[in-house]
Amino acid sequence: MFEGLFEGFQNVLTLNNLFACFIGCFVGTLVGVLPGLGPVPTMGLLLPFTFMLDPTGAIIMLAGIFYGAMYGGSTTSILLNLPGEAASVVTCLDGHEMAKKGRAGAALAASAIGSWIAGTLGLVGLMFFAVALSKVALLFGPIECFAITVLGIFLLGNLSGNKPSRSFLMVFIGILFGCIGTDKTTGMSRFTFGSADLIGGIDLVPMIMGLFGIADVLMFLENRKENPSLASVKFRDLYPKKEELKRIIKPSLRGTVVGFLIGLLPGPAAVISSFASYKLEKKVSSNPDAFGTGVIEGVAGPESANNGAAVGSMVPLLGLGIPFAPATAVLLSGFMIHGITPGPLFIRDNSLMFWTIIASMYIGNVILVLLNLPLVGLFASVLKIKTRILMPIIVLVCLIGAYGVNNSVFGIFVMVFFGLVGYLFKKVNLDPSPLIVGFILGPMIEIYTRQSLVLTNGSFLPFITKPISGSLFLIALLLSVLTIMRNIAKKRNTPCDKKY
Amino acid sequence: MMKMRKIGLLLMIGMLCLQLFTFNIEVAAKNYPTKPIQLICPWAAGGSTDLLCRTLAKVAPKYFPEPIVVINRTGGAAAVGLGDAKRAKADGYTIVIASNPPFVSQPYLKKNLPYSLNDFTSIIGLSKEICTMAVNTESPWENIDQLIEDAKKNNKTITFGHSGVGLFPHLAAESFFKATGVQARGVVFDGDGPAITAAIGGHIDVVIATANGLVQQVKAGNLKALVTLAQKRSMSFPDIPCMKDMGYDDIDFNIWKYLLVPKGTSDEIVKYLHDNFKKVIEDPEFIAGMNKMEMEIGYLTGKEIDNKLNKEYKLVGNMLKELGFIK
Repeated sequence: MFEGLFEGFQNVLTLNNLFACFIGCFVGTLVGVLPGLGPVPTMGLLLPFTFMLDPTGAIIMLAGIFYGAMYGGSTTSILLNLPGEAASVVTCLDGHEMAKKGRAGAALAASAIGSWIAGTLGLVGLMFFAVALSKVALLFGPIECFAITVLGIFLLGNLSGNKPSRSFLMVFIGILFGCIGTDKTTGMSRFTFGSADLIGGIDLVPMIMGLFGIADVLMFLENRKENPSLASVKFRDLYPKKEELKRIIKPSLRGTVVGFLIGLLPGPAAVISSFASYKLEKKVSSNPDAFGTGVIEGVAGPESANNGAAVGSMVPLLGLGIPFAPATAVLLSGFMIHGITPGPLFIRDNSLMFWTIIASMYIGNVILVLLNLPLVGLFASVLKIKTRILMPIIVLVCLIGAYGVNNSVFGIFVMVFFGLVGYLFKKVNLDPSPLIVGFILGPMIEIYTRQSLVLTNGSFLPFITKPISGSLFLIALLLSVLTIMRNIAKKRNTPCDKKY
Repeated sequence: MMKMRKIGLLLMIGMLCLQLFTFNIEVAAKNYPTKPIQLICPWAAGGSTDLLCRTLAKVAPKYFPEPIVVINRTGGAAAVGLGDAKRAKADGYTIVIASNPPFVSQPYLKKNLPYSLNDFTSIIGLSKEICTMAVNTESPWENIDQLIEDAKKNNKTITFGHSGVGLFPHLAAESFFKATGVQARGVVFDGDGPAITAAIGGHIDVVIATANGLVQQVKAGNLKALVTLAQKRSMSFPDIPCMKDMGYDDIDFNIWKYLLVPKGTSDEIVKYLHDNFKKVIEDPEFIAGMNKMEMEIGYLTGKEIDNKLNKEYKLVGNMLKELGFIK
């Protein structure tokens, strides 16, 4: 194995492959930073250019865009409360709060370092267990997927520490928005109000930009309050302190594991894993109430998780030739146009190419951290710009991004609509991130339920009797019982405290 | 003297303008592409249709004086892209790629589609994707006859995965199971990919998808192909029997990809596009690219496309009614 890796490194250290790797990482960072431009369409658009490269170089470059975007995605979340990727929505929660306190640099560095840890360690998992782990993913059929998605909604719905009732209200609103579009099971359109643009449903990206970015701008218009603390921050203070660096390590390691495991499963792994990691960090933290006010763990965890997920989703692709995520589907197309089939035979027959890709990812992660860390100071100083100048720029960036998603003005309408919705939410103090959870997981639950019921011929029994789904439901049940009991205990304790 | 000069100058300019003007009118028909031609792809970048467009655009400069620029306008099962193409000027600078389901299935399933077949003039057929049935490698059925025999003898209901209601893999499967008298239940997945994965995981009995979507998994040893649901065997699976081999002469499900322009485009331009794109799809470089992606080239004239679409429109309508998806 190490012989293979060594050969891979030798092969990747040629001018062509290194160049492909650098271009991939560079474009990935760029695409990650710019809201609206996601890795999937970019990889799709660059596919034809890889005709010119040899197959290995092509995959190195495309993969670089994929994991590189996970590095850059957090930048605008932290600085502008505007997620660059769906996978960086949670990073807004604490990342932007840190930025408000003048710790933007620390948050950016945490994200870069966390991403690097996850990218590199995830690769070790990929290297050793690609074939073995890819089989795990196959155990998840519609019924199992249904179970894990239900568990996901239970766990992630109550993310931001609002009252559970408020969080689940947002989840339900998200599910309702997710119903717009085509009913997959019958092919009919629903809730489209006769608009052809809505037949495909609402795009996640303009929705996120509206709920977060535009809503923020509207709030500013109302308050017109400059952020005074930022202008006076010294350049040196932009970088993380030693104590902060220490606090990055453990969340990143946990995030890596969570991300990698979720990456093995079907669905938008990068998004879900970042939510899951945030939840986990909050659970293990000694001070969970501080989350949402700008703690570095809330940035390092999710940002490493989405990188872990990116590597994790390469496992079923390389090990079995199955793309579970949209991004790996484009990577598969990349293999295809060069006439190569990934899968177990690929690792055996094309072992040099396999190892070269792995080696390129090790090098790519180093390139990315070197590319991102020096930029921390530069990016962070964006916040020194006066808010009244920054805000119009944000709007412009959002407009371009929303248009660019599908080259259509409709994306802009969607963004503006959700900007207004997000503004209303802010006025009544509702955090919109559970809405994203509902919006993503709701349609998945629907299609998995209906698939499962066709498979079981209408019986619900197999949902409980199948080992994986049964145990997942048991976990969901136990967790909800625990939460309810803890809430009751809390309620009993509080009045007592007041008495004494 | 000065006046004379001025008048002379004016006259000269006037004549020049006149000449330019008349020249322009002639140009419109004869030297048609004087600027890049937009090719709208109503499906996402990186998908099979997009790759076809990109391959086309890559070879096109050999035969077109101006580049072909691919633009992805996705959403609503191609409705967004086709709606845009319909609204474009009929000057030959906007062409769109389509497959048959948007014209033969979607009108039954979705109300208020922003386009119809009458809004377009067909130019040329480019490729065909062939519906194929496959099973897990560990499945007991080695060939299609065993599947039919086993299902009938033991009164089994086969679960089949497909990419969406009214799309061709779905319709192909339903017609095949009806013709063979095998009981079957369809499970809808969100595209070919997830359906194929479910078959590899053993969660469904068979999967129906395009040959080019299945061929990688068959090569990798995860699936085995059983039968081709068209009249001709496919390039990807030359050893697998087709409908003609089995004696079903009326089951023929191919997903055609073809180019269209908005109605009202002049006949000369349509002919120009047809003739030159025909040269493109006969070019060895294009053929090599298509072979690598396991896509079959399928040439059709504009008239043939129209005939096929009209025929399939009626057929699909009857099928969807029979299956209970529409009233």
